[in-house]
Amino acid sequence: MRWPNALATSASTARSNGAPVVGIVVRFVRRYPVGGAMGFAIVLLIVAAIAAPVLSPYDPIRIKVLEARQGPSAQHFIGTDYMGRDLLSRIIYGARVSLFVSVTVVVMSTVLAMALGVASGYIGGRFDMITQRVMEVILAFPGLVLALALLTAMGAGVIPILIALTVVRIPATTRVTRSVAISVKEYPYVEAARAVGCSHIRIMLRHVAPQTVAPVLVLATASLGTVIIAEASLGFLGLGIPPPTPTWGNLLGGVVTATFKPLWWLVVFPGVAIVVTVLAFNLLGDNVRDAVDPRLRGTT
Amino acid sequence: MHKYLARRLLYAVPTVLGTTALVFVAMRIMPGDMLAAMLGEEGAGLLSEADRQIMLAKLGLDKPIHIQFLVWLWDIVRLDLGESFFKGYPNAELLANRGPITAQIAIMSVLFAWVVGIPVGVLAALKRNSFLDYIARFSTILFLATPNFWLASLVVLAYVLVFDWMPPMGVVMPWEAPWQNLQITIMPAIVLGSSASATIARLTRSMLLEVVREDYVRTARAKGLGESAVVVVHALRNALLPVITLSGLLMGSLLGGSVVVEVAFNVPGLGATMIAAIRERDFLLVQNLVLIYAFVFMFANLAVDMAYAWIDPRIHYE
Repeated sequence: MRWPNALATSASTARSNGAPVVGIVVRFVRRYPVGGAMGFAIVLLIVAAIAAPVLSPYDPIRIKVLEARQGPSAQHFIGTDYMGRDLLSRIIYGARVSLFVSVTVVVMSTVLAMALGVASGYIGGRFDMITQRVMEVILAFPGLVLALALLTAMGAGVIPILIALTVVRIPATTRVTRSVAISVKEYPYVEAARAVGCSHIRIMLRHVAPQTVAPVLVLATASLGTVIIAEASLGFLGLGIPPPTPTWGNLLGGVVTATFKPLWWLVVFPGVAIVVTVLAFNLLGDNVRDAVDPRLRGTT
Repeated sequence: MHKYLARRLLYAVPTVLGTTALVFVAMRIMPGDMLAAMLGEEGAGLLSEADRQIMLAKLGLDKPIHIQFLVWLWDIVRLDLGESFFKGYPNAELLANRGPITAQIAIMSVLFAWVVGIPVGVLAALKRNSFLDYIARFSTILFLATPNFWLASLVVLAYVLVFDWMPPMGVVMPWEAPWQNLQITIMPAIVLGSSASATIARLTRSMLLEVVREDYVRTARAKGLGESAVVVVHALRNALLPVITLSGLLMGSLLGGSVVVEVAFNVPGLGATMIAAIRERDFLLVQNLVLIYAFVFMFANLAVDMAYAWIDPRIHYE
């Protein structure tokens, strides 16, 4: 599988200007204003998450019983929960967890899967066979069910969540990088590299791995939103990062069934935060895919 | 075909063994011993040494680990799922009681995803760049970004605040009381199927747009076929092949999603049972449930592959 590599060409033209990353970003935003806007929105969200202590009007954890169960008002823009905690503050702090988990999981799983896929495709033989069988075993489980099983074993917490979601995401990327590595290793330039005496490690790192960057980038941006939803689902089930840490999933866990008359703002607003964020990631992901693989442009 | 099926089943053996090994190992890497994990450090500390040995023996944890694994495998082969540690009733009975409703919701959600997703995708592709297409694409993107547990929560919220109504509780089989059963299952199925229908609409649209450019579609038009015959007989049939493959893959997210949706709607299915077992730390039940989910998923994918070979005459598995 060969990928028409638009990012690589724009990178090489920009490199002559001395600012490759800026060049790529400028070109991308000009061609894909929606993706650019979504990227900007995501940057804003990340800044808001980092600046949570400054931005959020109240302490997200401190309980104030006298202010409990208030609807949206001038003091509490989107209301308070059953313990009088300001919902807006809790959502802003929740963004920290969602974004951190999502980006960390995607980066960790992508790096591991790239290493595994490139090595598996390039080395081949028994190593490849064993790796593929292990990947098949992981793929045999519905993703969320496997994550639940791993969490049951490891207990709740940030690190277990990161590990569980990373394991689930590895096989898909491994398959893609492996197939690229298998086709690339037959190319004359790889043979040339071997002929001039490059070691296998060097060939894998410098000559094979870079070819997988484009498809991997597409997969990675597309899955940022998926991971946010997965983490929120675990939080909703009460098996994610334990309270009192506010996460978007925790905020929604059990609120509908908690009382006879559920407070609508507790259900609506955290969900809106999730949908808007995932929407931004998905739209950005679609445009990144279009930029990297122009053949697919406009098909969705 | 039979040969292919037999070979696929043979190939599945290492994967099946691998899944059992993975589930078993995952349930044994817990920090501390199993009793402490089940009863809590404090509870386990209160046990006398004799009681401790009795409980370990009851759970089969007194044997060496590889024997435990083999015993468990043999139990699965004999379909003996043991009994719930805390409640004492047989797990098999529990699963027979809870399984049908999960299966029903899953099947209904797949049907919903097809019945909604395929027509929407076809219409969007035929009226490309029309207002209808934009609406379809926008709602597709929106549904893909909406977590099913939130959608479920909104539906429950609407039940209570708008309609002042709650679906009946408990397990009701469709053949016992169809109307009551439908009240319990219809909304979970729609919520679960909504994101799948968005994925299917999206793929149907893009595949159809690709297929209508093919020569054989032009030929069909050239020989004077009506537009509906061209689309349904020639284009759609080929466009739907990847949709079938996708449906198998979607089963994974549907099975995972059903766990969350069952909890959100308070439907007593397998998923809700698994979450309850995880919370109660009934590890042997969790172990068996996770394996059941994996088996169902593998079987669904096998079925999809068979359907694929049956529908597409170009594919011959030898």
